[in-house]
Amino acid sequence: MAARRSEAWPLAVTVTALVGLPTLVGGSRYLMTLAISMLVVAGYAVAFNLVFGRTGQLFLCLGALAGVAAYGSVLLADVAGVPLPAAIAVGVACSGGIGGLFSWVAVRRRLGVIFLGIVTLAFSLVFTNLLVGGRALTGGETGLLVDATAGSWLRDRVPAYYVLLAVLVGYLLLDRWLERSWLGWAFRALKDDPVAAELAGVDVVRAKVVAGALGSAMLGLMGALFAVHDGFLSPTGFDFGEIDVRVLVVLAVGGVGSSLGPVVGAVVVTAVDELLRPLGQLRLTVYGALLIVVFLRFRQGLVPAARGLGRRFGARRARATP
Amino acid sequence: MLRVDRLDVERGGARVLHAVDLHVGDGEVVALIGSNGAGKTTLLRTVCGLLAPTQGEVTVGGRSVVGVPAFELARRGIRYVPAERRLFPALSVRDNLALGAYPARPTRDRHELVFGLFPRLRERRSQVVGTMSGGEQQMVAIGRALMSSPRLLLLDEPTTGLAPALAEEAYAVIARLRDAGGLTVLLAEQQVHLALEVAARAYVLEGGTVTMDGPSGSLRDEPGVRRAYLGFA
Repeated sequence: MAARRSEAWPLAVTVTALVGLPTLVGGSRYLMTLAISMLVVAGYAVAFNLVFGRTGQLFLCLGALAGVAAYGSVLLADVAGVPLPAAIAVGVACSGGIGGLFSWVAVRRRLGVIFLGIVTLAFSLVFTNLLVGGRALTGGETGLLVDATAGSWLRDRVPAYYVLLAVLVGYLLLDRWLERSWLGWAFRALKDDPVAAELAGVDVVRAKVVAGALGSAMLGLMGALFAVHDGFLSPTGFDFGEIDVRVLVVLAVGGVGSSLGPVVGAVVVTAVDELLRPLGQLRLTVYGALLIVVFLRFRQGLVPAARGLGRRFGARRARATP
Repeated sequence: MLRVDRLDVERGGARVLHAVDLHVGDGEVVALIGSNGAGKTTLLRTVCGLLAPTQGEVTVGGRSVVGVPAFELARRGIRYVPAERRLFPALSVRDNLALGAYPARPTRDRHELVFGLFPRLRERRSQVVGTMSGGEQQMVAIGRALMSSPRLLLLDEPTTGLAPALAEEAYAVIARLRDAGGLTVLLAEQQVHLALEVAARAYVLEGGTVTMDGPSGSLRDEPGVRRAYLGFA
């Protein structure tokens, strides 16, 4: 518990830095676009951390779950004429429902981590194919322009940045609140040993379905908000390679299961990604090499590694002062 | 309290229990003795809801437990302590105990009751369970089951992996629980002499069926039991 509590300060500092960011780089369209995509990835990573980090369910359809809400709400608003907030609510509910269904099937059919990964990956591929194939509705590969927010303030980068930041902070608060609630206890117990959790009176099925549905709804909300801000939807924006791989890398770099990990991971990965851009073709190679270093040297992620360093430093200081 | 009628249980297509009848009265401590593979664990796991019977009925306090999920039975006060203990090794003693009261918040009284039974756990309440000895882990396992004021305690080989002195200590605690009253215990055990000391009655399970039952005193003198389980020639 002590280690978790010590994340409150670094978390507050990180969020404050993020709040101040637009006053520094708000003038640059390029940097603001980058900052927004960083927030979105951080939000996805917090959601995935709830599903995988807390309850050990490997969802490999993060892009698809975000895409369900994004396409769903944009189509409802533009084609069916539903007011945008209601459309987003329906889209997010669909993502949550699909995620909850995956969790339920996985527990009921006793799918292990790998099998749940395969099933959700298959869903991811099917979803991309549906988007490409359903040209009449989705615009296929060409993509879809969002009419509902044309000319709205949400299209502007700085206001949208703050909306997405508010959502991200909401996610982090929700995550911390869950950690301390009895549901958090259930998560820790069932991740350790589902049978032991069951014997202690934990409703393992319900806890997993809640985590799966909630995490998926969070993915959906982030995806839908980004889509209506960006004003453009395309299948590549939600495919496995674009979203899932990136989120996995963010979480691996930041640290699975910690609150701060997803945010720090998103900042580091986005920054490294951009710094390496001038390398052109070499970029992916260097990126891969960096990942290997991270996995070999800081297997638990940067946040737990930094915490360990901090503790060692603190201990040394304590010894120096008699 | 507990009544088992004509119980058949299969595992992986093989019949492990056949036509088992058994009952445990309110506040009674009953032992289930038998060798490895006789079906003791299967019986306990069926009563606590981890396994489903193919035939027969199991009732606790007059209500059937067949088809009820294990977590629900745990909340109703049917607590199974498996031989492998299944604690949460990364959590502290206090947190492991607290989870025993789930979904309620653990009360101070309950913590005190468990610490009263196991003073060593009070000293070590902040220690991570994974670093504790087998005997201490067994205390945590029994303590966790007691956190929810159970009605029926199902103990599976509480002496597994314990040195003889610690095994006797574990049984001293069970005897104290028995004397305190209010708790019904069904106890599976291979260390038959210990089990017969604490239990009023016992059932002998062989090859998945009950072959003998009766008061502990008379079973202790039974030639078959003496030869097979108590080490007399």
